[in-house]
Amino acid sequence: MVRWGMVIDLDKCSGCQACGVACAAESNVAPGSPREAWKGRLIRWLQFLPQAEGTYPNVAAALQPMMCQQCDRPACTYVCPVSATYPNPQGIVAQIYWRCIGCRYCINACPYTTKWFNWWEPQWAGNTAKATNPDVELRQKGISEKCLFCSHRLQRAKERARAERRPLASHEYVPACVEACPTGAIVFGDLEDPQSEVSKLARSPRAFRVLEELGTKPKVIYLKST
Amino acid sequence: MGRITKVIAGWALGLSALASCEDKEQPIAFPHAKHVALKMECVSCHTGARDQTHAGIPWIHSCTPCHRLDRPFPKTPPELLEYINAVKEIPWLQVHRAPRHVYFSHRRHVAVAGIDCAECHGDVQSMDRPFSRPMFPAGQAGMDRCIDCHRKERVTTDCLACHR
Repeated sequence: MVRWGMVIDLDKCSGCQACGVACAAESNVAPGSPREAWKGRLIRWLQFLPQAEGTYPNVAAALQPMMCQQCDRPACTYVCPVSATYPNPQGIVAQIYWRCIGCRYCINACPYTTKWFNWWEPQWAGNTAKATNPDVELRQKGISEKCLFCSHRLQRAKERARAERRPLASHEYVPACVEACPTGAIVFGDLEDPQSEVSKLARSPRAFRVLEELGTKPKVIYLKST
Repeated sequence: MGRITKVIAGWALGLSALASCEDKEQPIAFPHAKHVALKMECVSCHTGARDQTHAGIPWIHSCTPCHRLDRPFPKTPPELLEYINAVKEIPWLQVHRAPRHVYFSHRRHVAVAGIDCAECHGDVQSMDRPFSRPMFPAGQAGMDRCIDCHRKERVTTDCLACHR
């Protein structure tokens, strides 16, 4: 069985934030208003953690891209009373918007704070709602949302492979952030396949997971900058 | 006050549900039965029904190869002739519509799984009029119908396989 995972090389990451833009455009994340920003309630599936590297006076700033960590033992799924969020057999932590009742337990349970609640109806200026990605649902007020590893791309890729009666090649399914990264810092693929680039990188001595001690077993793996 | 608002909202919802089942008057009384009797396949007009996500709604040039003035057969009804002469598209009304949060792909069901169109669209070959209302009771296919078939055929029932 496939287990989709991601490796982000913080050495290669230049902090350009192109992945964040690609993510918002692909997943129909509304731009948000100054009021939301002021209240700290802007929704961004892919955020950037500012990091300081080195010791004074030789300090360099870096940004660490943080999206849903797609844990193998996701804290959010244990608390969901309606199974709107659950880990699917391929390791993607699903969020089914129309099942969500908006209790926000999952948002509080997530130690990475990468789940978002729609406190207001998402605002789309003018006709821009019509120009959104038709493959992704537009969310509504009162539900939570998060990165799904662009699972709508997997749906299409799987179907194409099945129609052509061949197995799915892992390069056919690539999330938007991976595609947008100009330095190739983000690598995506099957963690179960020992030959895949992503699982080779995941075994690197530089590899670490965020808040590893919690035992959530994230499938987004970072490579320390040296 | 809150209760009254809820009652009104419920009533409005009920009305809109009814409205979705209301008959839609199609611009031309297209007889499916006659066309199927001539051994025409569904995909020859509904292009993409086999190999794409959406099944197409025919355009005027789906009619013109057969409905020609210089041919006595097939007969061209005057209302169709108007559209052909003006080279104007027939404003067909879409009846079946999958909601945005569902990834329903025709290719997945027709080309991959090999399901016959009639399984979902009913006995189209004996219809002498176009669809004026959805095939399904209450106007919607409903997830129960999907899940029943997926369980029966032992296809995935993982939410992420269809929802998005």
